[in-house]
Amino acid sequence: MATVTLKNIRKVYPKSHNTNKSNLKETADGVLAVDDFNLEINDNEFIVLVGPSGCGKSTTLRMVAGLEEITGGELYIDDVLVNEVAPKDRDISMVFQNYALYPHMTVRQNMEFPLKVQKKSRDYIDKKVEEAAEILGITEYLDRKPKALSGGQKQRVAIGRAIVREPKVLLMDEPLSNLDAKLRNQMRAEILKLRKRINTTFIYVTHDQTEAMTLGDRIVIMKDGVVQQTGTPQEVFDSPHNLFVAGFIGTPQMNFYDGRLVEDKGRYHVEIKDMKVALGKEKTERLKANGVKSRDVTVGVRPEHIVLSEGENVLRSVVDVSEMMGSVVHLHVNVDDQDSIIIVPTIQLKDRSLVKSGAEVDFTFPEDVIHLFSKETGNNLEY
Amino acid sequence: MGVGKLLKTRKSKRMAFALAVLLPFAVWMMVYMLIPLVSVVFYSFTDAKMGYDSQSFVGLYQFRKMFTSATAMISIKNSLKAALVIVPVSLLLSMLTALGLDALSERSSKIYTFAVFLPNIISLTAACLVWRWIYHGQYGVLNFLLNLMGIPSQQFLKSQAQAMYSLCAIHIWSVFGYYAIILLAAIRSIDKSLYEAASLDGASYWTQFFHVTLPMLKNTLLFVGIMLTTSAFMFFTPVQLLTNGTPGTSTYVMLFYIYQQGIEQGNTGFSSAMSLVLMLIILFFSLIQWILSTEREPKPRKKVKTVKEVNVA
Ligand SMILES: Nc1ncnc2c1ncn2[C@@H]1O[C@H](COP(=O)(O)OP(=O)(O)OP(=O)(O)O)[C@@H](O)[C@H]1O
Ligand SMILES: [Mg+2]
Repeated sequence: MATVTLKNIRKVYPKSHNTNKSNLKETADGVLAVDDFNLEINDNEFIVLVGPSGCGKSTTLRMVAGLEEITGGELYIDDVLVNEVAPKDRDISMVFQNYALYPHMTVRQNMEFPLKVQKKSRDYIDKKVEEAAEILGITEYLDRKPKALSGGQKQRVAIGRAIVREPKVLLMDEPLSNLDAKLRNQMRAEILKLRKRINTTFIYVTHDQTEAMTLGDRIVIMKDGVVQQTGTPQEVFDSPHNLFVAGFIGTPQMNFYDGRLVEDKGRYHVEIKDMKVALGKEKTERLKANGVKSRDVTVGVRPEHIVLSEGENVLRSVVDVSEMMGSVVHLHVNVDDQDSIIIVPTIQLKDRSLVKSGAEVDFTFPEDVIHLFSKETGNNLEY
Repeated sequence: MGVGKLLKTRKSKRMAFALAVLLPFAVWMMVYMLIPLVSVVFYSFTDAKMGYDSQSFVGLYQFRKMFTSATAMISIKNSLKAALVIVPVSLLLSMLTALGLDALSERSSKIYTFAVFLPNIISLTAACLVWRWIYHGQYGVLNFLLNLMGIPSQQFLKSQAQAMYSLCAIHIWSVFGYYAIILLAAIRSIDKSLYEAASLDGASYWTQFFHVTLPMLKNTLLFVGIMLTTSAFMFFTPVQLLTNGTPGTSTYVMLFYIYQQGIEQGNTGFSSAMSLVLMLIILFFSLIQWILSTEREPKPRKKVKTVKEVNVA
């Protein structure tokens, strides 16, 4: 139980000899792996850091743990500045991607280790270990060595070792990425359950946006060492602040079209090819408040928000492939050589011929699901 | 072609390959290991002497002779003493050196690693000549340093009490770097996240050393221990070059005595018997280390029902 505050946190890694090209900014001292990271994490909150490989998630997490030196900025745990505090004195524990179990110790010995180091009494240790084993369903494996466990079981033990100590903050660095898809879903549900049973602040790193959306109270989306947006899953899904967030959150990806935003006497509409969509009141207000004028824009619409339509004011497309997912069909269509995905509930698919490759499909979208991004900066024009 | 047949041909192809690769080694083994081994065992029970064509079977005579010979017994005692010094000290020294090298930055560690490895590429014979000078009672550099610190000159190789230890020091110097580098490689291959997890859990450097590093090095340490034991009993060159077993019999080690008896005096039967004993001693100490280090499965502290038992119930 603790609050964690990151204030202008920066990390510069000294330049290494291997000159692999990355998008990271370079300074005189080296590469800027994390730049100006700001976040206030509440007591008991579950924060997820998400972003593509190399964006600085692990680096940030490891700075919180104290495993990586903080180049600049301030890190507070419970309002105490801990930049210079050793890892062991931060009362944090961490679950590693590769489990990091001690191979020569049994499951029980692994889980006891943090408590033994703290010189707790035998009874207390036994009680805690058995409690944790119970929560994680690993009681029957307590006397096995890690090598005799499956990946999922190993990760449970790793989590067990992390929680016996009742740390203020529990860090997890891609704990599920070594598991197969089915086990991953199962463990995800278990982490949600675990979270209800123990009082700890969670910081969880993943590159999987589904994990982020389902686990996080708030999500921090990072790219190239820079935070792109912080918000609840709903917020980042409904109002992505830039093109990157819009494309990263949600599967299948949001569709993007080149279009033009036209302002006419205080009213806005969007033109994409021959289609015109007038914007509603809310969007108009926000655009007005930002003083947005007529301009070229990138228009973003999620696949599930597209509606098939007939008539004049539509986008015309040709079906490439269709994927039957059960309750929905994913139509991969081509609009003037540009790919889009449309999700159509199977129920609505009266005309079966629509899903044939080569079929012509016309569609449009409701005005309130349109996202407008600046062509220059990629930022959402509404925010 | 059936799957079974396919597997069979593939298997026999693999066998052929293994044979082809191993054959030269097998021949080498025969010529340089097996034949000498068998002849050592054979001659141990004979009165063979160099230069004589025939020998007769004498049973345990050579062994009885050995165990009643004062010099032979002294040489066994000296060898044990040397091993008792060489093995633990080398082990400790290589371990500490490896830990030190591991703590260094990548760049300086490379330089020091080379320095540590250096004794291995210098010929021991040449090195012994340098050591003779280092240990010299009057002009030796070691005495010079001792005098600087206000300690009077020591006799080293000429002193009954010190000669053995002085020779052991040379041996340790010549081997510890090699094992330090083997240990360093093993330390470096330990998953770093184990240490990170341990340090988050509050484990100090030495707790981490005893609970992570040491257990993870177990197999390597066993290997190093056995190699060191073998090399300690095979300790010979410095004795032959620097002391010839003197002063008195204080540096008579088994191999030196075997050499004297077998090569210099031609007592093939006797030296074979002693070689056999030496081999058994080395085997004995290697086995002890192996047994000490083999894993004992920790006993379950409480009876925990397995899934099977629960299901049956
Ligand atoms: N020790 C290091 N020395 C130099 N550069 C490093 C070091 N560790 C990480 N980096 C660089 O810093 C950047 C961020 O790395 P980080 O491991 O935090 O990424 P990540 O978001 O966790 O990625 P992944 O999803 O692949 O784990 C990367 O470009 C990486 O190359
Ligand atoms: Mg990472």
